[in-house]
Amino acid sequence: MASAKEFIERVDAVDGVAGCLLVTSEGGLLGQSVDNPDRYSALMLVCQGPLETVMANSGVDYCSHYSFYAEDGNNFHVFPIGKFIVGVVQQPFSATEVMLGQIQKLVRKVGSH
Amino acid sequence: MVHLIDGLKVIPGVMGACICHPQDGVQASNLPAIFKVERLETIGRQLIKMISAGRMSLNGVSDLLLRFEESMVVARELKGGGVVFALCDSSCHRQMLQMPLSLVVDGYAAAVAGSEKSPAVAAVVDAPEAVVPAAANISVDELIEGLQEELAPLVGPMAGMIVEDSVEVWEAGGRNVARIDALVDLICQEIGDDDKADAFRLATEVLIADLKKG
Repeated sequence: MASAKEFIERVDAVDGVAGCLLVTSEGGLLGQSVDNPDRYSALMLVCQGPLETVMANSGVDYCSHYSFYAEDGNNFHVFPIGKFIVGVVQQPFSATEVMLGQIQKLVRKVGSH
Repeated sequence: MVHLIDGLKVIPGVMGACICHPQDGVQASNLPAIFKVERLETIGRQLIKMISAGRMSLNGVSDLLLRFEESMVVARELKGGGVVFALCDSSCHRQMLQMPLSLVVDGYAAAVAGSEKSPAVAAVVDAPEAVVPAAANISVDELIEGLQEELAPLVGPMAGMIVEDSVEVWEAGGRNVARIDALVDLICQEIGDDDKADAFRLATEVLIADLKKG
């Protein structure tokens, strides 16, 4: 994986991203550009087990991402990449699908190294 | 109840939907038969946990979306802690589900409020209030804390949530030392793993015996 700082900068540069964080699956914070990263990283870690259980019972073995959609537009998207997890805070009412597509490309590129 | 989710299934790309309650399990489903009830209950309960965690950490969470390679799940919380979720293929857009999901939420709330009360809600509403001596509450609080400490090494960070959810259900029947075994049973159900549940029962035996003596 590229350096955490470089990765964070690249994700932040995507249109619609308000901030992001990169954590290990054990909870170690590798880099962030959000306020209160602990709040987000705790959520990402807590959701890991339930996500795996849902996947196992749905017959799938790959999760591109999962998203919490908020009424005020402050959506939060999580991308599991092997031993790492990327969390992305979205700018309210920005174009979600375009942003997710660009982040997905970045995640695939970085995750394959 | 299944009529509530019929509107979801007609949307292009939607394989079917399910309504699941944390205590009652699956209340309605029009998903293909390959999705057994036990499997749907497990999925529903995990989605409830994820939405609950999201609600605690973020403001105003309404929907949860899980995107897999060729499919996705869209879930929304229902009144009383349940969830409705739709299983869709990857061509489906979340926006197309907004209105039908809102209709399910409204319809479910009306059903719960009306004569179609779900058993869990009825149980909570009809449960007699137990008269518990004030002194016993302190011991119960200590025990609940102890249960969470014993559970944490077995299930990790979900321990707090499991205990909290179980206590909420348990308290509806009365916060009474005599019913403490029922609380342990509820937690074991939530653990969902027989070996871990046995280990939890074993680990809490001394704790519960001490409480009962006191």
